[in-house]
Amino acid sequence: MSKKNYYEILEIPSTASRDDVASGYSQVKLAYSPDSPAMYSLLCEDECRTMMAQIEEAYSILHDPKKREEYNLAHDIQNTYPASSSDPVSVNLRDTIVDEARTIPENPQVKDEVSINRLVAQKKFSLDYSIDEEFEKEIEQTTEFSGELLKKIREYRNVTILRLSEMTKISKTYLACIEEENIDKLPAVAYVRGFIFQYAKCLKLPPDLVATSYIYRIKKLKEE
Amino acid sequence: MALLNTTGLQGGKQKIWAVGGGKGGVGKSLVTANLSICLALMGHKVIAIDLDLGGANLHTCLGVPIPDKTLSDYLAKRVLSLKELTTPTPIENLSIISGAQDDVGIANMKQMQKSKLLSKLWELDADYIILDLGAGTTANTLDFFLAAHQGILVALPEPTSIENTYRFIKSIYHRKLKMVEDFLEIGPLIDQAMNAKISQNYTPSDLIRQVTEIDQTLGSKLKMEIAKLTPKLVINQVRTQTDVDIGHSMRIICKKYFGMNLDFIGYLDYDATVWQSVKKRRPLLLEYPHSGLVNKFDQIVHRLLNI
Repeated sequence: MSKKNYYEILEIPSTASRDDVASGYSQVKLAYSPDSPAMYSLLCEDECRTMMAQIEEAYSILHDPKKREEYNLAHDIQNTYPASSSDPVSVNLRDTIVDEARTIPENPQVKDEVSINRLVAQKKFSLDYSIDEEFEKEIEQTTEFSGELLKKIREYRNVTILRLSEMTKISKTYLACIEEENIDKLPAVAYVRGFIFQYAKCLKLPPDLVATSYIYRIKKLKEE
Repeated sequence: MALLNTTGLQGGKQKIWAVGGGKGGVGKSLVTANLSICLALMGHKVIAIDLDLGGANLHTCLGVPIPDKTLSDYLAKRVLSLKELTTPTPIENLSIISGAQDDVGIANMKQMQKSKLLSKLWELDADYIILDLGAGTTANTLDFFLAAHQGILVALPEPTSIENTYRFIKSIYHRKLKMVEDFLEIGPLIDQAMNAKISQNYTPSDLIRQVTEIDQTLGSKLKMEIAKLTPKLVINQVRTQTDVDIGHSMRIICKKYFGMNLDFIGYLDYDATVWQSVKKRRPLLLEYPHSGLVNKFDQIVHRLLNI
């Protein structure tokens, strides 16, 4: 079951005004509230509690214009933010990949589509940088990934914030916050973990290790 | 079952609306009567049919004395054509076919009779045929509701009525699925979904998801059939804003639970004049033309006509 986005939870279009958000919120909240007569005999309490939690979460983001914009950015929800289509960094990679993709086709009709998709995917996620043996070794041996180190690796692997945002579907703002370890502006830890996971994957770093160590750092920072 | 077209009635120019709801005394006849009057006043030719075969009283709501000829005469073949049953009302363009008065057993109309009645509706000279269904979820009631172009549910903002409304929706959902299960071959899954206890947390919308996982074409077919079910909801006897909100809540819960679009089309305020008009056996819209309810009915009709 695919998780509903915040707009779907509040049953409003992504173009909803702030008032619409508020009225959508109060309507769904009413429907799932423990003493709602409308859910009586159909839904069990557990399910309603789950829905209520989702509703509160959705509202807490969408009613705040700034958070909402960030959410839209992070989830690639258009209408406020036209996604940029050009991707200057990866253009020069085409030649190397085409050969690889060409060896696959048998049934031209179907396979062509597959290979084009694959080609696009490879192009989107391939990295192009000159290897620095020493730094590579350092990365390999690191077990603690700070925001600063992540930024250093990202720059070394020749990926701009903009491109990483397109690869990970995480907003540029959040990516910057991750690198700056700006814990006040980052969302709940559970989300940050997901973000870091994506971040690491796109930079070809071990996602689990990076996420765990980063979250550990963040938690410690929060305690201070 | 084969006699009943799953896509509802087809053919003539008449539009058929069915007014139902699980519980008795929620105002089905009142809504039927006043929607009929609204349509008639707008210049449409309307025939209201009382299908509450066990406890017909639509004629009372419309201010007509008990007609001589009723549906029982037709079903017992004492009268050969539906047309002969139509009784004019004081309102221009509006006639009524009354339900049975005598034979209580007639509530259990036979399959053949039901099919015949449904197919003969096309012989009636009308733009709109409004069916006032009885309480409960008998197969007959459900089939008339499903056969109509537009199903309208009346509920009160109280737990008993809401529970029965859901029961009714569940029943039409079940009946609808039963009609299509042969070509969908999903019988056992349907029963599992419909008989699930609330604590099992297995809803009809899970059924659709599950079928889709097994077979995508089947799933989308099923989804399409369910999408055709878009009952309208009217909340009657509303006293506060909280009561109005229940309509919206029911829409939301219905979507979540059944994956079905229940369209909340309006509410009627609790109004003592309603009971006075029923007591006087005069239609509300005529007896109290300045009542706020007149406006509400007007809005509901406009919503139903999509204008």
